[in-house]
Amino acid sequence: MTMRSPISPRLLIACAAIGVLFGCSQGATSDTSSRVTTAEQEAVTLTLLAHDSFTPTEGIFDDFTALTGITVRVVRGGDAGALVTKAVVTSGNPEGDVLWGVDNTLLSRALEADVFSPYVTVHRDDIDADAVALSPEGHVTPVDSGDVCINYDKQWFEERRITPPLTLQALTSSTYRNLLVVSSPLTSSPGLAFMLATVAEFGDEWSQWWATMRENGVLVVDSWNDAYYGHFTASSDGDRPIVVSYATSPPAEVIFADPRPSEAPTAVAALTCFRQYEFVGILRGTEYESAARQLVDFLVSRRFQEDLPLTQFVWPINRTANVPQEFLDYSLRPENPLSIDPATIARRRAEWLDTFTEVVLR
Amino acid sequence: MTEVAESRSAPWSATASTRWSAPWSALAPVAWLGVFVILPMATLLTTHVDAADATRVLSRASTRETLWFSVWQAVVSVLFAFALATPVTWLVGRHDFRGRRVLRSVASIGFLLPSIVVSAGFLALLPNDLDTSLFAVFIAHAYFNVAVVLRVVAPRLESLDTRLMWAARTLGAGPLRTVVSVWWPALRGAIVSAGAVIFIYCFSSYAVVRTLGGPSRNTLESDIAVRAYAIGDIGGAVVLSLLQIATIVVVVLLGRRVTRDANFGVRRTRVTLGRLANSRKLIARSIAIVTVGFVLAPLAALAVSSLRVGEQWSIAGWRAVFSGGIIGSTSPLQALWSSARTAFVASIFGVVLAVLMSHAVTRLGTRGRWLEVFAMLPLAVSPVTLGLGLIVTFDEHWYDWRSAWWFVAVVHTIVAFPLAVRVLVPSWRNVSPVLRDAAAVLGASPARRLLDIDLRLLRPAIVAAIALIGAVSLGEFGAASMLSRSGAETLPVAISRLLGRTGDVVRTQAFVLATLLVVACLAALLVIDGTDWRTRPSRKASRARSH
Repeated sequence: MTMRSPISPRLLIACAAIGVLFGCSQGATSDTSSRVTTAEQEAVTLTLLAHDSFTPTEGIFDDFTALTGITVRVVRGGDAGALVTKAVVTSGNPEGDVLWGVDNTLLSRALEADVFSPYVTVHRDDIDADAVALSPEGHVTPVDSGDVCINYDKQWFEERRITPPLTLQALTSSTYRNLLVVSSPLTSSPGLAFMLATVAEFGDEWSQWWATMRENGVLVVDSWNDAYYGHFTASSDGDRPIVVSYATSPPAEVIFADPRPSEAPTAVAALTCFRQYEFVGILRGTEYESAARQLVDFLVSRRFQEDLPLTQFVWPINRTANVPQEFLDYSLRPENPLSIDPATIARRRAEWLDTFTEVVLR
Repeated sequence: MTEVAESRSAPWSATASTRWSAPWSALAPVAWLGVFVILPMATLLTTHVDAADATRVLSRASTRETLWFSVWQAVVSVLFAFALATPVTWLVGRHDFRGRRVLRSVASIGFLLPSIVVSAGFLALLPNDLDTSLFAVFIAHAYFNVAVVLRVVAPRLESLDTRLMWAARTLGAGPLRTVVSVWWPALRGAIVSAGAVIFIYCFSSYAVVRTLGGPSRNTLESDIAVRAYAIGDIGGAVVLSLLQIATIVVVVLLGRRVTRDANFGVRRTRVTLGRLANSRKLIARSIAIVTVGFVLAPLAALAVSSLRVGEQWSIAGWRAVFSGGIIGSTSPLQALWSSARTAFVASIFGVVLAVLMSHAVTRLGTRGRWLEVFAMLPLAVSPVTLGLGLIVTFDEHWYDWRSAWWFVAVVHTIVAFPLAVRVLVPSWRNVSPVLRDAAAVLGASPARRLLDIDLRLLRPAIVAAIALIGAVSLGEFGAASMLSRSGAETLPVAISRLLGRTGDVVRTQAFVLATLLVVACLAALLVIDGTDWRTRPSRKASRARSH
């Protein structure tokens, strides 16, 4: 037996050295950054917390840095629900400085936990007034909006010469038996918005609508992805030509197809839309309040807002922002979308979800 | 994952050279679990839960239904896993043939793949009316856990003392009688041990039950996520996760009771397996083909999806991924790099802790068994609540680590830790103290003995543990997706994000990344298995000892 050690001391030392290096370099960078911070007030690094769907064009914050000297670090962590839950448990001692992506279905939960520090942006006059009204005290600033609507497969209905469903009430007709797939409001954000659409449309009768739909063969699946790409005839080998999705799904179908078709294969039923607004807020407890305010201003400025349509498929909230032609060409913007006041949503969401579970899932 | 060597229940545990080191080596891993698992759970419990939460949640009828569903679907899943794994386990455990190791590697891949990837593969594969059914759940659970049966039971089968079978045959026992009187007593421990591990995984299943079971079916784990994120009921989520831990602890303890003293008929030295008899070649081939087909089908479905854009064949997805033109702020190559860096750090930290822990487990005698149960703790903890616990615990002063990139690696070491310990424990038991004592007599210092004897003999197991932790880290989704991540996201998180968007090319990119991830996991698996042949020195050593 040779006595050459297979794991040589040198290797162990090398491993240890790598470990130390990792540790040191980490320590070194954070040391310098904090030193710089105290030395020159301008060189601040802000942490922007966002959900996983926050995907602006890479490098867009370089413009902000050039303008203000403030660096932005984007930190993603789960979906919007997870983001709000984490903001609630860390209220007052936040994980970052600014939070992107709380929407009107979750807003009140965050406001009740006193997560945000109020600020009124300098661009307030350019912002959609309906959206500003949702947070009158300025705890959060609206940044974008989108609509969750019934989408349908145009070709499927044309081939069979059936009229597509135009209202929620129409869906209960036996013509549309076994044709609708939705995602669960318990696990999916468009699913929740669609449940709220039915609450807004039918009031206290909403659960009756769902009971009828259950009779009429509505399929409830776990996620939007599963509904749209697992069962929707226009985008899978499924057998459901009606799906709950976004009003911006048709333009995405065109823009992300290769080659691009001349018109979208899907369409939206405008009377079934529920409007979602997303907000950005300064997290109470941040060390860099004034830098955070500048970042909020940047996020609602034209530069950033014009990036939103084609990267995240939402509408800018800033009315002065230009929307790309291809986005306008294929998108539908419902004029009178359904909505419910965030405080009511917060008060009754758990009860509604329990009812939904009882009526539809049991 | 093998427990073959447990029979060698360390008669040397009290030799002078080892007594001093055992409790000390347990300190670091126990402290690690204490700081990163127990402390966060305790913090969450004291800050966000009160007694009213407990009575509210536990008295609800839906909680009992959820608990009952979690239990029975897990039991059925265990049976499915055994049904699918038994033929290949018998083939690999009792026969020697060309391609045996490759078969064993390929059949194990399911275990290392992230559940969102496998679920996507099954969704692509199953006919639509089976998409959201219990059958789909059971099949997917079996898919993940074929490897557990294979890796735990086959080694025991390999070391089964054939003389006992011949003796039974000579005494007139038929095949059935031989199975009942010889095979079952010998295999009982391994079977129960594998069954318990599979039960725990399926009991706390999340993504599979969610995607394949449909929204009307909830395990405790998926209910925890709904409570925590959709409803914002953190107290309720924590109470449910405690209920989950309690159930799993009961199962582990029951399993321990059954497996105690279950070492009947196991030879202490490695048995050479018989060549595959010609009469069995056909059946062996069918088993191999069916198993490999079952394992590779969903993965092939992923690869095919990566080459399809809408209705056409296209390499647009691959082109987009490698030109960095993916939607979102991280390129896939960054995601690969981020995953690799996290996996590297997790493996280095994790293997050191697991080596220390397994050393203590094997050197502490009966108390070591308790330590072994303790090492399983991370399997029982819900990633959702652990994630929340971590961000409320490490939240200020110098220990505000919440968005440090290496925090994800820390979580991965926790998730992989129980598995790494299970890989290392049998190997520590294999290290003969005679060699160590001989070295001591010849004047070797403790450090020298550690390097030249223990670590040398452990090397294959260490390499396997590193690769295992690396693979777990590559595929880990649950806990990592709960933590905030700065910079690049890991592959599973990127895949999940891309699957959630409209547009054919975007979606194809998700399948490209999934295919890359499968390839990376397969490579890790080949490393784990490729190190097998190097165990020979230790086998020689143990043979020398028994002669």
